[in-house]
Amino acid sequence: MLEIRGLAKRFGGRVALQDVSFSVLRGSLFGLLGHNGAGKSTTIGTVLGQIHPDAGQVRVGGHDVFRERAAALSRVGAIFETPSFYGYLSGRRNLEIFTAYSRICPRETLDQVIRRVGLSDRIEDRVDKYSHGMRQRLALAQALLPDPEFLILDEPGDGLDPEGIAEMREMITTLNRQDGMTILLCSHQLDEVRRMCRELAILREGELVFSGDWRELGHLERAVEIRTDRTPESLRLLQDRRQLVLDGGVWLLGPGASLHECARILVEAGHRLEHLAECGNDLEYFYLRQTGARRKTS
Amino acid sequence: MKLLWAQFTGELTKLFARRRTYIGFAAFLATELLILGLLHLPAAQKALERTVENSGYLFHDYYSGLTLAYLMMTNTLFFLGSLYLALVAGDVVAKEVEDGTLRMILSRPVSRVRLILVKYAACAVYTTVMMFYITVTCLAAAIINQGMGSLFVYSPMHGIFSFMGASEALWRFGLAAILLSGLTMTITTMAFCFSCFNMKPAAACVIALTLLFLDLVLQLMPYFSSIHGWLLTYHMGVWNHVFDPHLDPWMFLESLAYLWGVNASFLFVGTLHFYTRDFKA
Repeated sequence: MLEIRGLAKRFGGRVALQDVSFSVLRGSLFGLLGHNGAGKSTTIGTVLGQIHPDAGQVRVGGHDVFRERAAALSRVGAIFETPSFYGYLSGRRNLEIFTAYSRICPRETLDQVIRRVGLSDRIEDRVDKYSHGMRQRLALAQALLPDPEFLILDEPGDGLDPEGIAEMREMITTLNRQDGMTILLCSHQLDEVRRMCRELAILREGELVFSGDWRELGHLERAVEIRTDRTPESLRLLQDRRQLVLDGGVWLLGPGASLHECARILVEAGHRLEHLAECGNDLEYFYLRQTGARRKTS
Repeated sequence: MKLLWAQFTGELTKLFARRRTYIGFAAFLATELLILGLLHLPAAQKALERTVENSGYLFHDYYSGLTLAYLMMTNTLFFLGSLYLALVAGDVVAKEVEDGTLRMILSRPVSRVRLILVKYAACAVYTTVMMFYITVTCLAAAIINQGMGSLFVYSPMHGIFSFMGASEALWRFGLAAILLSGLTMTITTMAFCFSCFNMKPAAACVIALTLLFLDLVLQLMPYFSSIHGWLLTYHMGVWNHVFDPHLDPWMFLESLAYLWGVNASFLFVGTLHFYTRDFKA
């Protein structure tokens, strides 16, 4: 559905993207992760033809976004971090205006989508009277109205309360699983990405550091958390005894090592053990390891 | 075509549903009424009376709603008109960039050129509505206040000195409104062009007005009389000649052609920049 090849972009002297390539398969729910300024928004900007790359190619549904814009974006919907609307107009008129830039939308279809996002009661109200959650729903409605095959969601849960986040998650999952939509989800909320996405791409300072199925990397299951009365010393001891290895800022159990053995070594050495646990499939560890950030293993 | 119409009406809705669009309309009405009141002051009436009677006409016949309407139009139109046209046209693209709504539109399969042209068409409608509004409100306010009467026009700057009856004058006012819609599009186009660049809406408005007032200053300085033909404000002022005793259609066409050439250049530059620029969050 989406194919990005050799994408590069500079803003003045600053490198925003450097040789970024990844693909999103049709029907998948794909996560795009990275720190602030890593290049996520620039990537989304180029996918939507809003930012011209210095090099590289972006194809959506097999069409080049810059050469065949109409064909490439005809079945694409997008939600941005802070959805913007014409506050002085009703929700319905906003939807009509945005949709007119994609296609003529019959009133029944409009009403159907409005019902789906749960805005039927307030759709005739002015948007500047809407709460943040309602704006997000309206944003989702405008993204769904071109009848998209491919949905781009840039921080869709940002600013929502836990209930709103759960609703949004459910909606995204439904759109992907039941409606078969391909979704590119860009989020800071690692837990949300962990729950929804198997495939993801991680950007660091404009470079792609990972792309693929993060759960297939079995060794991640062996990341551990340790806290003792002298944690740095304990970690060194376990490293010397070949129980732990440091990998990209994350402590992992070494080959043949076990938590039981780690605990025994520490107790015998007189360290007071406060916490020792395996982290399992933890996206946060994976993400921090890929982005090279240090996380306290204490 | 249906889609284009939906996009165009959407742009018109955005433009005419905003309160700030109407600031200009309200300001014009207030200014017109103020000038109307001031023209009733004895000093103003005396000066007007002297001009009319020195020409051998009866002041009573020509101190009329039509004469006052012309005086109100000619004294308010350029400064206030340019201000509000630039204010609205300078907003059209830049404000949407600032608010983030343009980014939402640009995630749609519409081409940037088409988007700009649709927005420009909406600006043209606003300009036309504004010019007709000014003409109609000036006439209505003055006629209600002073009755129809006959028209007396005296404009030394344009070399116009004419008297005409009510029916003749009314259709000339109509012609003036049509002509003004075409002539003042240059102010709209300049502000619209700057609005396509990466700047705040107020900056687009200020730059357009600065260029326009500089042009006017050059026109008012006698040392530059040889280049009047190149000045935008000189051509914009030809609407006054609608009230000449003998109409010269070629003069109007020449000015319209010149100004629309300038408009096309500004629009091209604005569109080209809009087409190539990046829109970031």
